[in-house]
Amino acid sequence: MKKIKYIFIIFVFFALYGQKAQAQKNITGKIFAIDGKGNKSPLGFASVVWENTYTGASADENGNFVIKKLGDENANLIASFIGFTSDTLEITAQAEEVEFVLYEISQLLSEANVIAHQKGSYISKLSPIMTEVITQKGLSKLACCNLAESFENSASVSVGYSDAVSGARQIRMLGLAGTYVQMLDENIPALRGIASTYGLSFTPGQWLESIQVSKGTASVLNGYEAITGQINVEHRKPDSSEPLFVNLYGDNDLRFEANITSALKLNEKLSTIIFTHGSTDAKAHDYNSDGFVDSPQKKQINAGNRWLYSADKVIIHFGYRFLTESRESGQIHADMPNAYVSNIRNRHFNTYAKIGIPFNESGSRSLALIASYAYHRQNSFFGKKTYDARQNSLLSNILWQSAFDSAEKHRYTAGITFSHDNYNELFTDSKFANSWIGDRVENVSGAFVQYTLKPNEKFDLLAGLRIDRNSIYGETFITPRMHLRYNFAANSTVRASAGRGFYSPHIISSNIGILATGRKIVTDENIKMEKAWTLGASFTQNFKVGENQNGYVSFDYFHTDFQDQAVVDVEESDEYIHIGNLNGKSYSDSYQTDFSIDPVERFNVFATFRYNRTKVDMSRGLVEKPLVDRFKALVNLSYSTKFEKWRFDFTAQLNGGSRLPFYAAQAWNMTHSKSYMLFFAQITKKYKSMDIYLGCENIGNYMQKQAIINAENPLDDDKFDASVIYAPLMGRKIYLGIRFRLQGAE
Amino acid sequence: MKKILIIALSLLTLAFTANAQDKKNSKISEVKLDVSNMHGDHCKQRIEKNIPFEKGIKDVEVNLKDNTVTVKYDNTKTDVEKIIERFEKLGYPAGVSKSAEAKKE
Repeated sequence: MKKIKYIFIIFVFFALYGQKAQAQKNITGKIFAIDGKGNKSPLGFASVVWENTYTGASADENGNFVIKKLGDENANLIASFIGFTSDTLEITAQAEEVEFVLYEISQLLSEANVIAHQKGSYISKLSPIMTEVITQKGLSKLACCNLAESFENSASVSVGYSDAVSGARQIRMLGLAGTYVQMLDENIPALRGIASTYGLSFTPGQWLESIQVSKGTASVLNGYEAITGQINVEHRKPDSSEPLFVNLYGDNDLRFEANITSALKLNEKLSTIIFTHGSTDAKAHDYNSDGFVDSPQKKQINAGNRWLYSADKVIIHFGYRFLTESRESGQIHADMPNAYVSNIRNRHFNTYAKIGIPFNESGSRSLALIASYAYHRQNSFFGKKTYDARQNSLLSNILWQSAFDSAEKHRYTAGITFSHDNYNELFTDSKFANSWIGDRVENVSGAFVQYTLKPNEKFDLLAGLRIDRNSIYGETFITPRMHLRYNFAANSTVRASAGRGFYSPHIISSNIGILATGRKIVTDENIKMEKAWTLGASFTQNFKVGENQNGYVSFDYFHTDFQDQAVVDVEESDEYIHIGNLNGKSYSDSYQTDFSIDPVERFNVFATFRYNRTKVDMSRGLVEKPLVDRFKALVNLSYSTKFEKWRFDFTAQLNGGSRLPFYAAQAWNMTHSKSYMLFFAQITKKYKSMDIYLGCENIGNYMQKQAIINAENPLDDDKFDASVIYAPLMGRKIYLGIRFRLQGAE
Repeated sequence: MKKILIIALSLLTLAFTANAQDKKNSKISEVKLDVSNMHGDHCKQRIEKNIPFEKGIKDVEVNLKDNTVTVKYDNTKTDVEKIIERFEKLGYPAGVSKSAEAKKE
């Protein structure tokens, strides 16, 4: 207590001292930020303070500030902002204008540019790649139990079920499968290969700080994948999260979930955070009365630990996590003779380390070493089909970042990568005495270089090239990629991108829905590496409504064209499913527009519409790819009272129909599924250390009535098919949750 | 469809009435505090994340330019001393603004 009083006296002293200084002249200035990609932009709301005083000022949203001079002598003025390096300038008595440049901390390590306390989602202004950011606020608008449920307010990503048995969720971007989207966990490729099948449910939403969705080909730094996009998740940070965060959730379908994270700052440099998650879907439901469980009964335990060591000379990130998950599904009366039963078990372990060594003060010249290891095991059966798989993966990446010139207008990043994947896969179908063995080792060694031209704040050009040698295909793959951003008027930005991408197909694990059928699975030998070009362009216009009310409108278009693709043809025959190489054309076009406006303070209206066409040459000629939604439109209304004491969110979603495979079209007597609306609403009440949220998903209770073809004799009927899913299988869901935060002393 | 509209509308009305009710039933006072140790947006956020959720606090307006915070509060539930105590607990020594006191006189 005494100490506080003492400090108080000092404060009062300085407060008075500061007042005395108010008689002096002003100095004006501007604060700029250099983000992880070397982009310079004004840094709003940063603060400046005279050294050894408490006299300070804060910048406005454009980085401009005015501060009163202390006196006639020279003094040091310090500019600072959370997550950025500080900058000190000596201010002479004559100076009237100054400029500060702050650098984003751990530039190389965290490439993405995260602003966590903003809108629910927005389009990054600075990134040269079209990037949509979903913030923690956006994640708390909906139940968002896991990553799969985090995209309900985005049209860029659509999420569907692969089948009516496994409960596996699949994302689609640009009208193409999620396998062409590279998943990153804090910029390290994650949930690859076999782990990707159920991967979206392995990342609890409450562990996350933000999600960045970038469309089109990504930069070359993380490999040749990412054909249609990249999704990067940022977890809660060891050095800035609460000492204790507890989330409890329950809903009327009897899903219960608990998430606990706990961050601890051991000293100035070292901090750690523990993540835990436990969830259970306790009850089996059969809303559409087809005799099958709509969503599997699930149990998941998931725990991780992350460390951050941050010093001037080195920044180290280290972490690991493990997960076990089981799913039970199939016919609801599993005890009846000849019942169709499905069990799926996943076990996962991964660990990573990132070491960043800055060679100059700003970190613009730096070295990063990244290594990660993942183990994934999946054991499953779907009636008479069994699929067991194991994967051991090792990834390493060394990046060197520097500039050609002192003004840092010409910068480059160069590096080498090596990856080793060891797969053991066995698929058997006892009905056809059919099996497929996928034991293989895939070693990929590559080198890359990326050049960034940034002559001024308004323009970026990113040109990257990588060369990789893949041991399975015995081929060298060349991946050129280019991104361009031009801020041609104050609030108008155009972006363009073009690039090549590759994907080494996983024929069973990427298409798990085919196991939920009675049909034979026929695979060609020598499935080729998938190869595609993606081109895209976008235009974003930011505008102001009132004083602080921002809005934007954006349009984008992307085109993906495959030269080689592993095509799953479910329409060649109704007796078998054929997986083979593309013979002909395969392409997709995607158009999207987003609109966001704050008509009054704390009220946001967000609307978005996406239309896409995906066509592929299969046995029936060039056809629209089945089960790809043609469009998605949504409106999100978000209102909060002051300080967000109450928050109200409402989302209306229109999901476009998709073409049904011919056998489903025959069985259900329609060629296309109907478009349908989904409604979501949530109320959040915020207390000082707690949020309580009550929400409802699928308010209109829309469900796909017929989800299974020939459900009568699933074990022996070849025409049994549970893989034609275009709408929710679960009805209205009412949920209640709390988020408790214990705030630490700062 | 109708059902959904009704739900949406009732949510919105609830939002506004929640606000309005606060204003009706209580006696609101206002105090302007000189607060030291506020440096920039981070401090502003810290104050806005904590003070409004204390008992009896209705509104908080942080002004970084002249280092003041204007607090509206229910004088049946809290008083200026308690509010100042809350600021100090957060690490922001505060006192009733001199300029504001001068005005009253």
